Order: sequence, then C-alpha cells, then structure tokens
Amino acid sequence: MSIALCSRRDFVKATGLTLSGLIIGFRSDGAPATNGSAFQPNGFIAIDPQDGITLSIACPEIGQNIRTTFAMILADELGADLDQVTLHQSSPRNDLGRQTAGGSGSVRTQFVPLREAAAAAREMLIAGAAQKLGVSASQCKAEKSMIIAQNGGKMTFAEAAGLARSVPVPNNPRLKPNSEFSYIGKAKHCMDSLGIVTGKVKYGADALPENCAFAIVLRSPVYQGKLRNYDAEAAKQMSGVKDIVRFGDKIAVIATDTWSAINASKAVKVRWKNGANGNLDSATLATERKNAVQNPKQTVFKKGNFTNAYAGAKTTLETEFVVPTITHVPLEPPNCTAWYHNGGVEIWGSCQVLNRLYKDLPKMTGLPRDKVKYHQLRIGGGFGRKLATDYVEEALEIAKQVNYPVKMIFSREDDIRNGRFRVPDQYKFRVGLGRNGYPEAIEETSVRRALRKKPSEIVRLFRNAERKFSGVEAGLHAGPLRAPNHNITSFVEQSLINMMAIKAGIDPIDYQLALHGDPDAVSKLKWKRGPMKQQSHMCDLLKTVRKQSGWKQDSRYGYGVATFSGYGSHCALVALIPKNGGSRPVEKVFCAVHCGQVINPLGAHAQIEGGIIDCLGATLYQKITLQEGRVQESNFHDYKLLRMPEHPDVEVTIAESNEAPQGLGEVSYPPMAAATTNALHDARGRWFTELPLRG
Amino acid sequence: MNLTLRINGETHTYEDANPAMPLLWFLRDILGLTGTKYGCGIAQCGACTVHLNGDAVRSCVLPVSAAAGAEVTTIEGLSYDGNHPVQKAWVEEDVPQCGYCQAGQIMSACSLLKSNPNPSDDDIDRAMSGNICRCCTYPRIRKAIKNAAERMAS
Repeated sequence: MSIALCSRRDFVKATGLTLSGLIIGFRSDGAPATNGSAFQPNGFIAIDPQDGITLSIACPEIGQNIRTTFAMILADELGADLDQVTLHQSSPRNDLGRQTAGGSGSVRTQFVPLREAAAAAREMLIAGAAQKLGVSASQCKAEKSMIIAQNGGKMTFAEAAGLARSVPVPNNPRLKPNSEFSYIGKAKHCMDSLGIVTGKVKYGADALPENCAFAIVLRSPVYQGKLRNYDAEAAKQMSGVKDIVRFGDKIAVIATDTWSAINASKAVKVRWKNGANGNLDSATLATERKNAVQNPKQTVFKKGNFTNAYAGAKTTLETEFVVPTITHVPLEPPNCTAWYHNGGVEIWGSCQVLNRLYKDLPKMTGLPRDKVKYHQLRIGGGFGRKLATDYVEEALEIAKQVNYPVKMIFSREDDIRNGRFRVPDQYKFRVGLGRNGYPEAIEETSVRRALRKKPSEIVRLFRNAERKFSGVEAGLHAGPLRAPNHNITSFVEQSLINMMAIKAGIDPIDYQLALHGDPDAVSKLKWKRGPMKQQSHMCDLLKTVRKQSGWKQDSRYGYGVATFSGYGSHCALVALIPKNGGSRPVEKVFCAVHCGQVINPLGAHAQIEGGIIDCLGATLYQKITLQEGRVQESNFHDYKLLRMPEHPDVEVTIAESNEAPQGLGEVSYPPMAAATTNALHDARGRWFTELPLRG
Repeated sequence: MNLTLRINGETHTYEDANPAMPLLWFLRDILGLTGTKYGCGIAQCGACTVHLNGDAVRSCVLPVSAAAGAEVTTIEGLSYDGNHPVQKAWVEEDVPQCGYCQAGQIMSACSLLKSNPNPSDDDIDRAMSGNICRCCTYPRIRKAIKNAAERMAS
C-alpha cells in the first residue's frame, strides 16, 4: 500500500474568509483527491470537470444520518443535483467548523455556515458562467448542477468550474429563502443505505491496511489500578502471536488475527495493584448512598423559606429515586488502527470528536501535524463512548512500538468492564403543594459522585427551595452518555411532577400544561400566582399527544406522560401500558416534538424513535454492578439490551416550524423513563422509583 | 492443516489453519470480508450472522473447520449489487441508522423468509430476537421484513 502523507495541493486562492465565525480556508490535506483542476472554493465543496461534485461532510457519521443531512443542506444552497454528488468524509481539520458528533449540535450549529459556504460557491459558479454566457450574474440561476441563464444559455457546474476558479470569493453571499429549497424539509433516504446493506461501507473496525496485525489490550480490572508485574512467556509461544508490548499500566497482545490475540491475552499472567477502588462493592455503595441521602453533608442552595412553606403546605409528599450505573455498549466496540512508517503515522478511526483530535493528534502521535494522516470512517454507534479518545491513544501507543499496522479493538468484555460509565444517582425530595397542586416548597437531596452545580428544572419551579448534597464515589471512570445528566434528571423530575399532579388530584397533562403556562390550564386550576415557566411550544405538544394517544380513554391501558426540553428542542411523550400485562413492556408511545425547521423528516423520525426505544431498554434492564472494584457484567447475556419482541410502536409528530433547526439526537431519550414509570403507576397503582425496572 | 472453504461461491484455501478459529475472524481478518461484524463473540447480538448452506448461523462461535465443505454466504455474497429483495426492502424502508448491525439483521431476515414467506409479527419477534440493534431501528426492520415478503411473493 502506498500512501502520501498529507500531500498538499495548490487550490484556488490561499486566502481565508470568515463567515459567521467559520474560517473557510484552502487547506487541502484531508480534502477529497482531485486532479488539481477542481474548483474548490472552501473545504466543503469540490467541483472537478471530470469527477463531478464532491461534498465534504465535516461531522463524523454515527447513525444520526449527518452525511445525508449535510449533503442536503450543501446541495440545496449550491443548486446541485443531490443524486449526482459524491460524499467525502472529512479528516480532522481546523477550517470546517464543528467536527463533533455530540450534544445534538451538528445541524443547529452548522446549518447557516454550511449554507454560507455553498452560497459562496454558487455565486462564484454563476459569475464565472455568466461572463461566458454573455449575461449578467443576476440573469442566471443554479439548478440541478446547471447554471441556467434567462436567455436560454446553459452550462453544467463541471463546465463552469474552471471559470469559477478565478472569481473572487464573495463576502456576503445571498442565502436562499425556504421557498427556494428543493431538498431541505423533504424526505430523503439515507445516502449510504446501499453501501450498508451490501456490506461495503467501512466502519472504524473494518480498517484493514495490508499486513495489519490485531491487538487486544489488558487493562486494570479496577478503575485507576496499576500494573504490578506480568509474565507473557507462555502467551508469546501461542499460535499467531507477533508481539506483546507494555505501555503505561497496560499490556497489548498483538497477533495475526483478533481471535489469536484474544486467546493469547488470556494466557498472560498479570498482577495488578488495585488501589482504593479495589474495595468498592455496589451493595456497600448503595447502603452508603441510602444513608447519605438521609443525612446530607451540605446545603448548597436556598431560595425563599422551605421550612415554613413546607409546614404551611396544603399537601406534602416525600419520595426517593435510585438510578443505576450504566454504560454505552456501542455495537462497534471502541477501536483504532495505526501505522507508523516513512517518518509519519497513518490512522484509521471512528471517533466522535474530530475537533479534539485535530488539536491533540500531534501530542498523541509525537509527530508534527503534516506527518499525521487520519482517516475518519463510519462510526458503528457511540452514545457518548466515542467522545473519549482513549482508544486512539492506546492504538498509537501500541503502533509506536512496532513497524507494521496494528488494529486495537476492545472485546465486548473489555468495552463493558473498561469503558466509560454514567455513574449512579440517588435523590430524595420533600415537596409541599398549595391549593390545586401549586408548587410551594421543595427540598432536593442528591447523592452522587459530584454535585450538579445548576439547580434542576424542577427546583426552579418553586419559590421556596433547598438543595442538599452528599458526595459518594462511583469507583468507575465517569463519562457522558446520550443526553448526559438529563437521562437521570428527567426521570426524576418527570416522575415527581406526575406524583405532584396525582397527589393534588389533577390530571397529569392538565398539570403539565399549567406548569408550562397554558392560560386555560392555569385558570382551570385557579392558581393565583402566575405559572412557573412560559413554554407555548410545549403546551402545543402536550395537546397533540393528549389527542393522539386518546389520553385515558381506553380503560385497558395505563397512560403516562412526560416532557423534556433541551438541545433547543421540546418533546412530549405519552406511553401506553396494558393493565393486564401483554407481551410488550410498553405497547405504544405517542411523541410530539418541536425542533424548529426539519431538514430531513425521515432522519428526524428515526432519531426520535430510536431515542425512545433506547431509553426504554435502559429503563428496563441496564445496570452495572461492582464487586471488589470489578465490573461484574461482561457481555449482552448479563448486560441486557432491548430486543425486537419488546419494542413499542412509536407514533411521532413533528411540529411544523420555520424557526432555526435544533438538536434531535437526544431530545426524546430523557422523558421516556418517566413516561414508562408514570404509565406503570396508572396501570398498577404503585410508583416505580428505582431503575432498572427489571434489574 | 489446510482447510478448503466455499465462500460466496468462491473456493478459498486456508493454509496452516487454526481449525478452532471462529469463522467470523477468518472472514474479517484473513479474507478481508468486513461486511460481517463483531459485536459480542458469544452469539448474543447477531451482528456476525452469515448463511451456512442457506441457514443463518452466528459466525463468531462457529469454528472455521465446521464451515469447511459447506456453502458460506456473507452479506457481500447475498447479491452482486444490492438487488436481493431483502436489501431492496431495507433501502426502501430507510432502515439503517449507524448500520453496524444491519448485515446481521438482513442475513437473519433472509433465513426467516426462506422458511416462512409470510411471517406474522410473532414470527418476526422469534426469528429476529437474536439480533440487537443498538440504534433501535426495530420498527423499521419489522416493516422491511414485511416489505421483502411482499416483494418475494410477487
């Protein structure tokens, strides 16, 4: 295999242009290969007279369908025929804006910058073509990869490319109004589907440079444990083993195939120094948290006078919530392939954070940036796990010690035991309600690894509030998991709101409407003071799901409602659970979402539906336990995920909107846990406050 | 020892074979047929599903020696260009999200439809319960199986 390390090609003008904070430069490393005659006004678009139109997708693809979404945005503003473009997955760069799949941020931050880049390219193509067609630029439009002049003259983008190269980059290109869009807002099938269903699309784990070896890493089974010593003599003699190398407190077994590496890794005799975390058991930690929530160490927030308001409340309620440790288990385990040769390094990865890699790769590799060539491949799921870069660092540490390419992959057992974890939370609430459930007083006691600095949404609803906290160690490497923090707090808050409604004898949807400031609901409850928050979008969504679900009209079902606002979007859910059991844990979910302007309705529905079902799986099954600091679960037989027979039918309604597009990858996940437990309460008459439900 | 394998209609000789090596790793690491995925290694997720003489098997636990002499079909061999009715149905229903599990899902679905051309929801539940989709595309997988059944009937 021959590779060119960061070949630099001389494209258009080597000057930068700033648009909405996005530097559009002309660096060519990591850009699609062209023959040098391409029109490449920025890092997103290349138009080659022979090879056609290539759109570079800056953001990692992880199943959020961003390649199709970004291609739709670029092609629409450019005037390109989406069926005739090639997609290129960008490497980590410093001129492509946000290159991170996380925080549901790709579309909401890049919608305008991508359009500005494409609009600039369109105006340059038009300017170049207009001169040749003998008309002014204002007499031309770009459509289906053609420049069409009012006088009937036409020119393809490929023909115009050469002419556009000498046109100055416009400073303020005109952005199309919605009425001119051909693709945005219309259903578009995933552009990579055919490649996926034929097995041709390459994921990080599929990288296979010639003479590639395969590495399995031995890591301390206890978080922050150290390597005392090891004996790899027997393992070295095993079939297929090439090398066994140490880096830091880890040992890599490198073999001619993954299976030989797994086998030999079991034959390495290792002694670990466990440290303090080696004494931690889940049962002991649970008792510690249970005690801590009754006797919090500190008061961290006070508003009004909780004690007096609670004492004077019309009704009170007191409850606790227990939320477990869970982990991401992306089906493609963390992995990375690296090869040091010819004075440089080539890397194949599937990482969620390319901006961070751009910054960190020189340090990680020990090489200047122009000696580092990184290929970003499709990510087989991340759920936050691949926001970390430990697997890239490990692959590089191993590859530095050998002269052939090495693919390091976590076995599923490694992934579950040595991954990143959403660490557990325990909560206790005391709530005092005024007339008709008016929120008067709340005391929140939380026990977790570290304090959540910001008061939760529910605390902000009350005029009299106290927050108390105790810290208890988790004994695991904490990391963000899909809808970080919200995936816990939404369960807790939305359960509590439901309890408040029922305690006050008010229908939970009416209560939610009143809390969100719906004037009719507020007046129905005769609340003297105004509502806590004004959220008209959420009120509309609540009314939608109330209508669509036939809320509480079928006595065979328990109904549960929950809401969530985050990532700029809003989501209301109603879950239906049959009172007499039934084969599915939740039979049906009605979901209404407001996410601003929708780019691709198909992709949007998939994200929303997937988030709901993913959360249901966690709510039912997922839990990591520790014994002597070691994770006890190891694979999908004891760390269960939701399967085909258990998925609910999901009906999604997305509100029409011309507001700016918002985040969708995480908005439907947080409310699903409470929608489930609230429906269970309606069906069975008791509260479920500890997750997982079937742990 | 040398093993002779028939994979996607072609004969491959595996020299100095490790007969206990699961077929999955022979396909992926040695032949470079990476369409078949690793997800668990213990037949719990179905990402590695291939056909052995037309029936779905989990290649992560099938010793390569057990595949010798049989016809192995992987996702790459299901059709030349994605024109198998199950693949077409998968594209039409826009099933994949990350897509990592979908080769295994498709191979399991083909096996189901071969023995049961018109599967009910319960049949689909039973046949597909061994395949995990971490993105939770289950509702669209179900639709695509029904779509494929219709395509195959007509």
